[in-house]
Amino acid sequence: MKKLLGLISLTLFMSGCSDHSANPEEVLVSAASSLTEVMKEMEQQFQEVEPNIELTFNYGSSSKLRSQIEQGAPADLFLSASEQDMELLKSQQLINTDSIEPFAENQLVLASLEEFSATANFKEIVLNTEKKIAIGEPDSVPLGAYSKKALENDNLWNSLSNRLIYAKDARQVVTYVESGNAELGIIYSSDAVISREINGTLEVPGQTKPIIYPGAVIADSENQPAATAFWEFVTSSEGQAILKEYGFMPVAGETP
Amino acid sequence: MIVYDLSPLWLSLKVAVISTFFVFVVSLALARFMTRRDFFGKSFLEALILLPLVLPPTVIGFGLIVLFGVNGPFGILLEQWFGFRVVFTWIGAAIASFVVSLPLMYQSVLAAFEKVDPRWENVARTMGVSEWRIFRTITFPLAWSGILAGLILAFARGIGEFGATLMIAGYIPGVTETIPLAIYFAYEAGDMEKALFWVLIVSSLGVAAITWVNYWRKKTAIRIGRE
Repeated sequence: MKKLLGLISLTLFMSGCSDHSANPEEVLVSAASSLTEVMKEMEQQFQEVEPNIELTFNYGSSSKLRSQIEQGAPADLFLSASEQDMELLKSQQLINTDSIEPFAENQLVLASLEEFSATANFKEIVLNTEKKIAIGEPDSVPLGAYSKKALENDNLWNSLSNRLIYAKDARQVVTYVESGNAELGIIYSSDAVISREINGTLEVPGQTKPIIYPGAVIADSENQPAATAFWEFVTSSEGQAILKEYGFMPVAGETP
Repeated sequence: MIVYDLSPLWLSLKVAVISTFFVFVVSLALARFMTRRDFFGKSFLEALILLPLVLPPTVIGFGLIVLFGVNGPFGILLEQWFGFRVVFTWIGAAIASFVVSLPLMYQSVLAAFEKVDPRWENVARTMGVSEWRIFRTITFPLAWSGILAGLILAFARGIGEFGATLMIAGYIPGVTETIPLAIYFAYEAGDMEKALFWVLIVSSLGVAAITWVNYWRKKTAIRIGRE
């Protein structure tokens, strides 16, 4: 019993030492799940420039992250895959309006483990098959909302609806395709670029608007300077080069 | 009040009824076997059966997708032999419910069997009654209250399964959308009213089941006391 008590107090003591609020240089970044891979690289490179700032990431679908922020969850920087979620936070004055800036662009691709033939046509592939198609859940996951819009623009939504599998975030769609459990999936081109398993990609027609990733510093963040430092790194030419390496496109016509 | 599409309710009931049926058969056989035999590795086998109780649902879902996925050993067998797929179907949801509710039922049944006085069975044996008849007419009726409690628990757990279900059955509205999935995605989409609607339904199901078990137990306890 004494040993157990000792162990418990030791654990409590150790956790006390790494108390987050005690370290002013800790930045909590809420990032869209499609940014998972690129942010690892981003963190490494940023650490070399600013070794005193510790980054922690919270990944999820942008709408989930947005509702977490609305409910007062701690976050210093929000990197969103959807402009709509950023707008909602802006209208509630939960973010620093001056800091909102688009930092990356993405597009939708149809992904498969096998390569598509050079003459492959998107419409023919998705219609002439019984294969399941994984997409993001259209009401709650931005990837799903974009996918639905693109399919609707091509009048494909209704004919495909009974073969669609909805995933809870962008990463889950990729996993469904990579594991072979869904033969096809509509994912971000950035996710297709970094995936070792996915060999076939085909641009999804029907995308009328580019997919823009906006970021902003959270209004009640206690680490504004540190959060801003990382945010500036992401939008700097160095950060943009990393994003490009991971399959994201620079924001077209951006005027800083 | 808005009335929502009730398909998640019917699907949840279907999944829970079917998984509870298999849980019933398997846990009865397992518990009967375990109370009467002693063998090397018994504790280990028991730990395996109870493991889903302590594992996070994601791990269960991961295990199921590895085993029953399109490229998993069971997944391949089922597709070749019976021509059906488990991933992204309601059968996947039923398997997930089965795995998480089996340990609950198993524990209740094991405790119920252990409480049955072996003297009754032995008396029957001396009279040359077959083992199956002993089980049917003595052991099972004497253990019935524990078995029923286990059944209700397994059913309620089957209705509430979420994490593993989402991984193996996916979220396909109208096809694999059980109540817990409906709640999760309604909340994610910010549709609080819809989420609340399903929370109320699933909670009333749970409360009703547990209340009924408690009431029924008290009643039978009184009856047995009188006898």
